[in-house]
Amino acid sequence: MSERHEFELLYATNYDAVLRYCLRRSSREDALDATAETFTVAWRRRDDIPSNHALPWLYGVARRVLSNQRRSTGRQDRTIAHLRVVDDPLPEGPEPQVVRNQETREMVEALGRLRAADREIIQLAGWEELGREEIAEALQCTPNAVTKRLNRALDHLAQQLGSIERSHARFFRRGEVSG
Amino acid sequence: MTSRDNLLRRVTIANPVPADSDLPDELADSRPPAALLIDESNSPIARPKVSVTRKWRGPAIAAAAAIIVAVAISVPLLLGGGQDGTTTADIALTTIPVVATTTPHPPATTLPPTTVPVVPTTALPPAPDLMQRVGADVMQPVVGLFAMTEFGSGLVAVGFDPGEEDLRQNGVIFMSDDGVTWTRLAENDPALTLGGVLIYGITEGGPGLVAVGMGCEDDTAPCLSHPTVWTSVDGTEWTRSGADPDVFGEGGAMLDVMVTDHGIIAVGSTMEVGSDETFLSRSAVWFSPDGADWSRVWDGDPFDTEESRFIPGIMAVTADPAGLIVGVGTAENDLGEFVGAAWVSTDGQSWERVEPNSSEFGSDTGADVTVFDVTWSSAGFIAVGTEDGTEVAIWQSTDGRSWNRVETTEETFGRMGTLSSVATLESGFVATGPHGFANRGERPVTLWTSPDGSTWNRVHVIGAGYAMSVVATDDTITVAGGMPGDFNFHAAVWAGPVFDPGAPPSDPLPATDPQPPEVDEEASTGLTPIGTLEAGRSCEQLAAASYSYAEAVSYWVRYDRSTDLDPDGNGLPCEDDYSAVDIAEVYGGPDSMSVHIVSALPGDSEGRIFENTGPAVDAGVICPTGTTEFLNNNPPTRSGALYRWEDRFTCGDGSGTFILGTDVFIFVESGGTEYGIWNIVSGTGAYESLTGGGGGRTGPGDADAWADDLVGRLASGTEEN
Repeated sequence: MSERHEFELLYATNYDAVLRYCLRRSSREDALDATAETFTVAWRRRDDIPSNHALPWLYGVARRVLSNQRRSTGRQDRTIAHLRVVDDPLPEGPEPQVVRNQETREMVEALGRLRAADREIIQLAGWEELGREEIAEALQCTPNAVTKRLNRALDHLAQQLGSIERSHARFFRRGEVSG
Repeated sequence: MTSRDNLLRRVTIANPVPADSDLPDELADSRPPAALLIDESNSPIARPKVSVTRKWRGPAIAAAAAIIVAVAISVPLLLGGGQDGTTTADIALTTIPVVATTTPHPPATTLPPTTVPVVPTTALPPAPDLMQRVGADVMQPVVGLFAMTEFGSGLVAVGFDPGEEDLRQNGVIFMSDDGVTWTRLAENDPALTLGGVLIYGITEGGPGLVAVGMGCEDDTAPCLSHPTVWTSVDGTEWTRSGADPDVFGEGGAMLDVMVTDHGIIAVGSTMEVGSDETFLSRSAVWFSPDGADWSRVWDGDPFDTEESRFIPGIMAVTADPAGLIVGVGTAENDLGEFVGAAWVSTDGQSWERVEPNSSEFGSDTGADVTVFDVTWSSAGFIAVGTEDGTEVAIWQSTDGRSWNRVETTEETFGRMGTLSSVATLESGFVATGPHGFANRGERPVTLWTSPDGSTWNRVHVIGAGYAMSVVATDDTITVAGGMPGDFNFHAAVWAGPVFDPGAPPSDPLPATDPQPPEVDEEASTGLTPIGTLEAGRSCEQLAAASYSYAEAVSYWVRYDRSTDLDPDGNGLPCEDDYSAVDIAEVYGGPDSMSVHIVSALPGDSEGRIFENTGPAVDAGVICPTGTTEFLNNNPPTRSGALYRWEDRFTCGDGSGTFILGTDVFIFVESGGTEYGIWNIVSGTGAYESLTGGGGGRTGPGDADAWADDLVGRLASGTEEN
């Protein structure tokens, strides 16, 4: 198989995943741009792509592309507000939906309060659902560092989440938020 | 499944674009052919650009507005306050080169308390024979010192005072011929008082003295300060330059200056508007042959700044006898973390960042790292700083290009958190800390020496305060910084004999020194959250365990405002165990008056009603009653607080409104009661200048309605009151 065909296979296999990665972190316009840029970089650096961790490697490229994109445009990471780009039909009834949507809002708010590095490693684990070694490939660090950083980031997330949940609970108790 | 696993599962549930979801048709259809992305020539210039429409979101005017906002929000940051958590990022933030447009708070009153257990100053044995405070008579009105240098056979120190008349900081110059007797110079020199001035570095050179820092010339409006140079023949009269943005930049600061064989070099960073909401920071180097004519000779790569997170760039510079110039400071890695950084130059004009990916300048846990100072001796280069604001950090290099982190044991460095300055002795080094912006006066100013840069000894604990600069002459070590005063920090200089690093004085804090037993056990494993601390602790124990005053007040409120913690019953707990600065930070200044505020939601009422009582009401500082409405919830403004909310109080007599914010430190699940401290945020009408604060609880009231019960002090903020 020629290099070109190998790349086209890589592209066909991973395009949607990379696009989803970018959609979770940027607007649709930026996500499309960043995804295309990611594969352009991948073609140029095709010799560096690890055969066993191609997708995490692409995520790492996409992360830098998005970072450069924000730097060049001055746009902030408002991705956290880009919820539900894709409709996600909920199987539950209305009440669980309310609870779940509330929990999602709180989680998104808590993620938004984290430092970028903490947020990224949590998202790689929770949204891209990568394993420790895959995250290490995406972040170009050791698996041991991933464990430390992820634990630390989750602890930070728990702090923020606890603060938000207690705060929200307070409003309902005080009867000042009608819902 | 662990709590972390559960948390990660919740993150997955909140995934906005689940992996198994279908992409919308318009996105699926937008996939470009792979062939379009493939550039067979491998030329980045030739590669095709696949672009979707891109818009520039903010006009220049919005960017300018963002600068002004940044000026305003950076006031507390500049001096270290207002944000929770003392990380290295905070420390770097505190050096944001923006001149305050309002009266600055001293570091001690505004710095967020750290949750890291520290050596209690009450346990320090006095050692008056080693370092003595000097110049206190003239330094009392000055808030702090940033730098110091030898000048002739004497010393010159630079700092700032709060500029109470025009609400802008003024540069301050102190000079001493003998290191003991100090004189303030150029007190009303327009070059040091026009607009805002912060002088960060000074050296002997040029016409006599060259100082660097940042300034803005506008005396009336908020303005973005920029790198600025001051020169003087003898310190009595100063000339200021920095208005040319092509040379000095739109914004930023010079942080250090030195004389080299090639000329005078200043280092720091520039800042420019990147877009409507961002700033672009770059490390920068300036060069001057004489101190008068300056050119910017080098700009580093732009840092990927996030919102108002600035990076100070090169913070200090030194050189070896062979002419290699070495700068150290802070950069940003690909993960957005602050890492230490070093730059080298052989001519002062062209610079190279060395070992940008070295793990030696990073953190195993991803914590932010900052390098504050660097020096050279025959043993090589030594740089000092901090990891995460909680751990001191030292780096060593024999050639300025390859750096190694030196092991720093807790036995020698305790939990000092930061080293701010290092100087060369005849044989070895002397270092001092903590850095002023990372300390509330809780971690004592301390000196360490080393014969070789790799082994260090703690040789003297000076006392409460902070240190920014250490200068070693043949027979004297002098430290410049600040120490707590009644309601402010005061500039301070301490002087003492040179220690022989090869035979240092004995460690003043041996491990067997007496410590408060109960709290020290906690300190070894981390501070127990104030919310889980049982009743019965004394003020002395709370202070010795490094609980902040806000936490102590919350603890006092939680346990029914116990008279054990407030024996004189004046509503100010633990007065004898916390500084007046700490107390004023919660309650306001000495002219404030007591108040008791109860805000409740009676069963037959459509809204919340408040009732105020106490001397503040009797004196007309605040109205007796009115209505309350919830405004918002925000991240807490105090370190250690769980969350914060704000309420608007509208006086029933039409005298005005005020907004009161509460930082909750303790949440008790059973009953759902909260305890914390409150402060006045703003006001209208008669309460435009209202200030004050105190402690309070929120929980079920008498009629089973939620009630806020607040005690504290208020001041009208006007002279007639």
